[in-house]
Amino acid sequence: MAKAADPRALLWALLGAWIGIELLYSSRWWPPNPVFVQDAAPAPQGRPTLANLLQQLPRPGGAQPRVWFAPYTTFPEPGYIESVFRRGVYDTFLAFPSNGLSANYGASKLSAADTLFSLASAHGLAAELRLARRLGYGFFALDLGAVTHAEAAQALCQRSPGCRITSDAYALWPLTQPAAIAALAQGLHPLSRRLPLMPQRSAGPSWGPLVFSPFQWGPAQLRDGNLTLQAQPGVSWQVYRYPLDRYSRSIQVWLQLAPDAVQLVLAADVSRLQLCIRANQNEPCHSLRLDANRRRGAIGTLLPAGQLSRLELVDIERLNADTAPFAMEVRAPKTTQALSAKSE
Amino acid sequence: MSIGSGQSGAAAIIQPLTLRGSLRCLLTFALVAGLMVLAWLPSLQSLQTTTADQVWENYGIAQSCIAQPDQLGWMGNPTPAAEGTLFAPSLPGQWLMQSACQLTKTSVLKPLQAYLLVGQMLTLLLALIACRWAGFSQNSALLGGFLLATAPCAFSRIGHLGLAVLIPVIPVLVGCLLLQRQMVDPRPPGGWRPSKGALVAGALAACLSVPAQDYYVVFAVLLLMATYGLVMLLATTRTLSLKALTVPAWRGAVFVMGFVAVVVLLYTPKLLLAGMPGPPADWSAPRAAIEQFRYGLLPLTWVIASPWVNGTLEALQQAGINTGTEAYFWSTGSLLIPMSWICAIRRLALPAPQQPPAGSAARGHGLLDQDRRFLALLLLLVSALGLLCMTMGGLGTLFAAVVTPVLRSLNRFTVFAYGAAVLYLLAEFDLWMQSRGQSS
Repeated sequence: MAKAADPRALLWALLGAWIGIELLYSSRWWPPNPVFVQDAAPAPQGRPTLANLLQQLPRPGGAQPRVWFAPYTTFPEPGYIESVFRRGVYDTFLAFPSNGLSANYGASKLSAADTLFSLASAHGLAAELRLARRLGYGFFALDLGAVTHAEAAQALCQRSPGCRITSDAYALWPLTQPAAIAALAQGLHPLSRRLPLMPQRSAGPSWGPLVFSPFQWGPAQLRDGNLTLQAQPGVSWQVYRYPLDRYSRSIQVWLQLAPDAVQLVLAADVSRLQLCIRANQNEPCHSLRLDANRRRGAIGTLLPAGQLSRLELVDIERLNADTAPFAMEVRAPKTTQALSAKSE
Repeated sequence: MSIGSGQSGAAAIIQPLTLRGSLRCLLTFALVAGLMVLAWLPSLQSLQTTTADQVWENYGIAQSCIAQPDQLGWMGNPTPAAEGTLFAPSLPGQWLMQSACQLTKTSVLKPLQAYLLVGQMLTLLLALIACRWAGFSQNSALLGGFLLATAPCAFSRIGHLGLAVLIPVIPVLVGCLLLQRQMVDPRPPGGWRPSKGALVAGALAACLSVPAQDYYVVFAVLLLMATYGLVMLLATTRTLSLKALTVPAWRGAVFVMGFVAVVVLLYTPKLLLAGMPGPPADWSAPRAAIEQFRYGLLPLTWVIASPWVNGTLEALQQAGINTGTEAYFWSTGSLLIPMSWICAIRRLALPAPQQPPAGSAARGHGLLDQDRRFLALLLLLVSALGLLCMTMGGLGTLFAAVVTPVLRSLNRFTVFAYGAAVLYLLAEFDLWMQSRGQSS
């Protein structure tokens, strides 16, 4: 006797068919043009992409060529796209050869390397070049879309022996001959990055060994070679200072601040300010008082290395409660300033 | 010792033991694994050229393989804890990265392809083991692994490759089922023994879920706690005797403790990293509560099936609208979710069969009606949690505003709604297959 057909079998078959359709679409077997395939490199016409060029470079002993990407950008970026030739925040990464990385791009944010690279970057492209050379990088790749005068940079590359321009708008200089490097540094001086202090936008701002809490300090500004941060209205602000003895001697001198390099400056509409500066709740409080007669005070010695320092508001007299009560000015270490010197 | 069911879990998983049966089992697994790889083929091909969005995993793998100290941020003497922990903080995460790295060195695969393949094979295998442990039949367990390894929400996350690997989903949901079984075990408490079983079961569930993704770990603990609360709430509808309620409360707590203990152990590198001197970790990636409205869950995405999602995405791209990898639209749902809602509500509306009396013999291996009911409840619990806690402006946003905004991409919870739907439908499929077997 024939068994009655099970209606549930039909339901399961329909469900199976639907899963198949979903799978076909979600796996991109159909339609055949996948959404994620990257656009082809723009009009190579004999020029390789930077990734291809780096793949073709000679590798003595199989070593990766070490490439300094300029202007320096921390990793990962916050969403600001500096280069006019890039579409996404991570596009610079695409220039790496797919079998590995060996570049300055990718330093962890707020690490010692990141603070040093950011510091050098704030002093301009020539400073980046000198730092790259001192750290042993073999190539200098300039993103032509991220500098103020791309045509000038392109012309500089065409004048330099060994420089190549790639189809993805990088100029790649080999850092082998001292004379050529000196000429390149001179040529880079008139150029600057499109977004000044770009690395300072990605996280808490940093300068030398100091790292500042995000959201408590205003956007970083460069004034007369000093970094200036406006303290956001509030009652407490935090700063971390790296202990430099953990890093190699060459790095220490680049990050070492002078005792009076960190200064608090009273805002224009504030007539009196008293702060308590302490590293821990248990530590004694160092009081700092600024007023109309003394509008600026050095606090570098009050920020111990390896600790989180808190600046707590004790007393203030001001006209407007919504404005920044004070600003912090930090001078660059002298050694780092030397990286931007016009003479090699 | 009982781990989740009366019969030994390991013996149940490794059925059948005959040579012929084992061969057939292996062949079936190989066939399903081959189908899974075939489904991933277009995505694997697209990974020949890394897209900008895949930078995180690419960097993580490269960090495991070849990154240099100054790329990691160390310019002096690197400390062991700092190396290799930044992008793969948990031990399983590091292992996954290093496996991909090794596979890259010994094959023609690119790093991201190797990562994806290793991840999907693990998803398939661990979902299979978890389902078998819970009592699903072999075919259903394999189907469950396949459906998770080829979930629409896995394919749509190819841009952020770590999220395309859904290893923990089925093991965590099975962990919820096992937690419920431990709590409602009708056998009387036998001193230390049942607690030890619960502890081991919790620890094994944690091991199977390979905790490597911070968000999934948070979701897993949240789901276990919600399951615990649900079972305790249901228990109070039967009795208000504190003495009687202590037994499930204790067993459940021990299970969760076992789970959390293993997770903490596997997250040791990250905990060590957090203890290292340096600026606070959240300074390098500042988050704001307002981001919840960009990365939160949009419930509509649960019910939009992938054919329409692909069309929508292409239209958005053609219009030049950025559909970043973390945007809510990438948490693709499936029609399986609303379908299973309907089936689950129907299942719960059916009259319940008689409960086994307290002190009765241990349950056999396999799914019972109460398991199917619980899986239906679990699906609704996961859906309710998603709607209440993960949506933009929900409790998750409140948490971000009041406590910490560090968890922002709550749309990643969608995979658990999909997993719960798959698990429940598989339970129904299992029942149907059993009824067919009995009638033929």
